Amino acid sequence: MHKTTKLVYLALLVTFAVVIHTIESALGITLLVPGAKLGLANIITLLTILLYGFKSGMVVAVMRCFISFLIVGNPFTFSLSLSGAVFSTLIMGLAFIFYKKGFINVLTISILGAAAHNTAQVIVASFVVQIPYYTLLSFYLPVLLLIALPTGVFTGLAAMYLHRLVGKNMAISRSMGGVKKEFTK
Amino acid sequence: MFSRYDFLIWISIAILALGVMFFNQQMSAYSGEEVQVSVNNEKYGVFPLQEDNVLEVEGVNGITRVEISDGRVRVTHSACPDKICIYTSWIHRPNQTIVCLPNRVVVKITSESQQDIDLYTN
Amino acid sequence: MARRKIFFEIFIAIIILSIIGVAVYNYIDRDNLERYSRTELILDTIFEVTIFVDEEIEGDPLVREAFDKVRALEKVMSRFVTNSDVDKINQQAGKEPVEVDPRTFYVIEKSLYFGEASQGKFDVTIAPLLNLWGFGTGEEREPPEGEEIEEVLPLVDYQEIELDEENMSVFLPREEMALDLGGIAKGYIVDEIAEFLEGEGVEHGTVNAGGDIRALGTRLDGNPWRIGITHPRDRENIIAVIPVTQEAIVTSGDYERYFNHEGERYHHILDPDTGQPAGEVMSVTVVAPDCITADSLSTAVFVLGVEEGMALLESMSQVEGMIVDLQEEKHVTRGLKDLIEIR
Repeated sequence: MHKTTKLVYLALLVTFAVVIHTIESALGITLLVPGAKLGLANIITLLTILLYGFKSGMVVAVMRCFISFLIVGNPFTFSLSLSGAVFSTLIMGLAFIFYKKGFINVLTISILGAAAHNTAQVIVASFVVQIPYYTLLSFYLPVLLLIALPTGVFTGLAAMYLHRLVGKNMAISRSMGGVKKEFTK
Repeated sequence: MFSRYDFLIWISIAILALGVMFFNQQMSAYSGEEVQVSVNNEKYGVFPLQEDNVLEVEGVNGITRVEISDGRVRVTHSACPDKICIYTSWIHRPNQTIVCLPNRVVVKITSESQQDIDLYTN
Repeated sequence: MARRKIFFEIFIAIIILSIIGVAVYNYIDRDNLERYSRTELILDTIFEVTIFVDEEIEGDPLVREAFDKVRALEKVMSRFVTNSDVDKINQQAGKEPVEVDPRTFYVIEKSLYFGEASQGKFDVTIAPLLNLWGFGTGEEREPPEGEEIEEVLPLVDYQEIELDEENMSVFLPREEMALDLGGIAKGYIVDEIAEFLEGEGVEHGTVNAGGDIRALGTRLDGNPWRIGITHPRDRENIIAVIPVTQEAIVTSGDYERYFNHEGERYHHILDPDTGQPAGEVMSVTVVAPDCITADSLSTAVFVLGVEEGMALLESMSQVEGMIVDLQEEKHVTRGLKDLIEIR
């Protein structure tokens, strides 16, 4: 029963992520430099990590990329978003450990995730469109790291409020059984 | 809510990014842009673009004086009848050239990195 | 549950490995191509060949061979090389037809075609006028008198060139007539070199004869080559950028060879009908599939001026261009408007 409930909620989260992801790429908002985005889908990934832990977060992130690929069908965007999603989820999972120990807050997880997301995207993009690596290191990476600060705060705030909202909703947290320990802090 | 670790991480990301930017800005001043001089299709010498310099290049007809200043290059004096090299005036972008046909002198700015402009047509 | 966990981990591992695989493959693939470049003063200009080839092609000997070909063609087509085809034609003007290399014959045939296309504004028999003006001396000097020009003008008429296809011979009927292939031979030689390199399997590269450019394929990164058009009055900077792929691009400007007299600028692109420097534009850039077309059209359009020049550019298929008039206004052909970056 618990497993099924979790599965349903994860499926819901994936759906949210796909919708947000699609809307964001359709809007085509880029900040200052190509590749810099708000990364709204990261909100859902972070929320999933906060609710169910790293592995569920990874599942949601990867599923989101695959389903968006089925919708948009652009292999270049797919390789970009997949690498960004996987790498940022890895980093956020790592940061989540420190979060649970009370060292850092949600915003910092989010910033680290955004920074990781941008870094991975730039590196993969440079392989695909073959930007020379020095252009990448000298120009894109520092700019994208800087942009990760405000965008990370933004997505972090969103994830934090969402977490409070749905965390208060017992229907989700109570039904989690074993997973509950992770966020009772 | 904010611990010092949060603070540390935020600051270090900002410092890392700004540091790389600053470092690269410093480096771009010495980004390996060079002034290549050749006489009669033979290499004469290579000089850094960022070091002010005046070169007295011995061409086939006499001296061609090349001035490197503020990251720009020009020919100020040349032992040739047409002076096209002097009229070319300053160049500063990689792949730009100054040519003195009669004196067989070619001054070219080179760079290892991929440039915005590959070639110039005039 | 444990099986599902292993499945999940394998799934993630495959994704990460495939990302790394694609990345490494791209990286190695890019590094395979080696750059070879050589610059020489030749053909009265600076000739540069740059190619990107993999290890199956030996780049250095190939570039050297290309320059050998340039030198061979120069020996045939320059009017300043004694015993070149053009020199012989000029020496034998008014005397007898001269048997020439088929390549010279082809270039002269082509020049007649562009003469027709430009209503005589592109004229390879302009040499007597050029001699009279004596360009390239840079210093203050006086332009020739109107009478002197009137005397020379009748000698300038490409329609009088007699071509004999059977004997591959060329004849100038009057003794004082002279041929100058300067406005077209450079483009032809660039084409020959580019096609030679293509035949040897070169996919990325450029051939550049002092601004007469023909691009092979694309840049290594797959993007078009970006060609900067020199600003006609501020030569340190550029007036526009035109991206080209597998095309030729040539610019003719009034700033290349000229002299000043009493505040007036006299440049080297002469109108064969008036004998005076063409006065309506500062520079003309032409993009065409081959360099011989771009080279001759840039001169022709320069002389024709803005209105007729634009009409000529628009009328030819696969030909695009930009004219910068005396007010520094840029006139761009329709097909180029979306591609060009005006600076």
